[in-house]
Amino acid sequence: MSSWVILPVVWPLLTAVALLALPAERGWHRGVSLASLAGLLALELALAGAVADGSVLVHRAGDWRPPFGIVLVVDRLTVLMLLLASVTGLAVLWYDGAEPDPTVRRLPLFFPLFQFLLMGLNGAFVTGDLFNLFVFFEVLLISSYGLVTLGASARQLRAGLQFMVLNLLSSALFLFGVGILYGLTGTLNMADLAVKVPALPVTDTGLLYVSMMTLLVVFASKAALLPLAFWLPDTYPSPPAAISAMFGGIATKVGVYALLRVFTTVFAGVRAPGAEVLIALGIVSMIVGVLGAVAQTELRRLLSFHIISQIGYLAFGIGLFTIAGVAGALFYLTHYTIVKCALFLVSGAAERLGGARDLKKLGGLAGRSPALAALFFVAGISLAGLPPTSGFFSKFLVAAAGLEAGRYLGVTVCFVAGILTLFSMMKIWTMAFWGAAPAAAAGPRPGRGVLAAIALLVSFSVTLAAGAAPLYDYAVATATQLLDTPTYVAAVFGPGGRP
Amino acid sequence: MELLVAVTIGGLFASATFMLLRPHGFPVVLGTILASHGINLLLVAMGRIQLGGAPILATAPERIADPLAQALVLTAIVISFGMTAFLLVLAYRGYQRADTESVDLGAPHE
Repeated sequence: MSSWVILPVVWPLLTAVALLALPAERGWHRGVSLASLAGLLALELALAGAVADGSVLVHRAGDWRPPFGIVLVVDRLTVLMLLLASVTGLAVLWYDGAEPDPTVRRLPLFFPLFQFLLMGLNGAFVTGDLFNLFVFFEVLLISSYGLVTLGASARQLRAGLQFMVLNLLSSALFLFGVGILYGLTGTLNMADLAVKVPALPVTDTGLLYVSMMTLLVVFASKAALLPLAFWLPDTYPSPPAAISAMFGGIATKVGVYALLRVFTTVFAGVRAPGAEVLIALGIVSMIVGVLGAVAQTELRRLLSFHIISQIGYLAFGIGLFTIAGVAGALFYLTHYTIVKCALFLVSGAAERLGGARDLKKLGGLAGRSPALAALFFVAGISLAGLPPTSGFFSKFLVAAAGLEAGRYLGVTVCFVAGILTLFSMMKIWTMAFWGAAPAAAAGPRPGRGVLAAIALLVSFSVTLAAGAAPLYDYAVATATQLLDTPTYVAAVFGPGGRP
Repeated sequence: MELLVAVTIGGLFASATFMLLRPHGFPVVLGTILASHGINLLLVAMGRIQLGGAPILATAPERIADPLAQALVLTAIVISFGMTAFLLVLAYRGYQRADTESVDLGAPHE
């Protein structure tokens, strides 16, 4: 089973290469992409079954013993992230296949780039090596650059330039942090670092904190935590809606994943100052992100500001580093990845239906497509956190963990930001779905395929609410496993122990 | 030697920061190039600064050059080279399309 661990990385790579070799015909590309993704999902479910009992699957590339070779590690958190990436990917491909965006229809490169994006995501989730994490971040980013600028409108090119320069700088800082760590410890294996970092002499503490804070800045900028998030509202709304949905759904979560992974392995023994910073940034992001969203009138730009706010909730939960906090954040992450992806897909369908991106030019969509309005309604109240949706449980768990840890300011901000989220969802509802339709020419109604893709995601969100207890148990088990660093280290080094 | 390397890395970063804050496309691209050079030098320095060490275990154990740091730099160079090429094309296409070299996005609703 343990050599299967490499498949989530290799599978999308092979698919992408096959797609490049296929004739540039849309039907073929779509069929192969969907089939490949369904296969990947089945594989990941098998992996999920194998790690459900708390075991950790480790693949040693080339059979080199850690810390000398690169290891790929699959535990509960990895499986959760892999599954989320595949589910959002499936919905996005389905949505785009049903009614392709005119830009995407022209450019068959969308499908191979999409597979490379998945490869980068999956690689970042399975790797157990810090430098390898950097490489997979680059794979992910290179395909993002292609996807953000797909179609090459003036707006996309300029947003893409900003996105790329920012990410090149943060990649440089990533290398800086990794380089300092390597200079201090002479290793890049996360499990080995988890052993060596706490044993560093006191004289190296300064450099260690420099490295930790640099990596925190890097991951916070990938995850879009304030004050490192201003690139996001410009970048995410510019490409076609399907691509926005993939980015908004899963791409920012890689930063959150990396924070969680690095702070529970490499810096597990010394993370207290980093955790404080994380909580502070989380609180600021929650409130400032949602205030930014309230002020917007462009549909997808509004949703992009919400990403910042929601990432704030995740950072707050993770920064507590208690089992309740991390479990709450993981529940939140699952809910929010799915709901955010659904909302971006709804906004794409709404833009096409109403023929405009701006809320002021939209109206009366509920009368024209009641099904779309119903899907938006469920996803919207779920994002705002009203019972009985999955959003309510997510916010409740994070807030309860905050209260338990005595973080009253953060909990207060949680609730205020929740109310403002509800306000901005109501704003979309009243401006776009209610009222009279403007006289401007409008597009076709969303077809059954589009509605089915969105309904798939929304039904996941509803299932999460109805089945909150099993998911919460899984989140608690994952959090327990994450906070138990010695077991992770022992699993990576295997029966022989650390050399 | 250490002072020289440190001053060079610091100088590269200082220039990179200055260039990245310029309002036009091309200087910003140059800034990213300088930053990646600075990082590459830093990575090499993290494998310890010395001359004439064998790349793998030699007879005299105090004269070993760390091959891993150099492998890391090689990877970083390849990635930053490809990225720079793409960035230049992107900046040029943006300039052609928008007819301005400014990196400021201006009004979001174009």
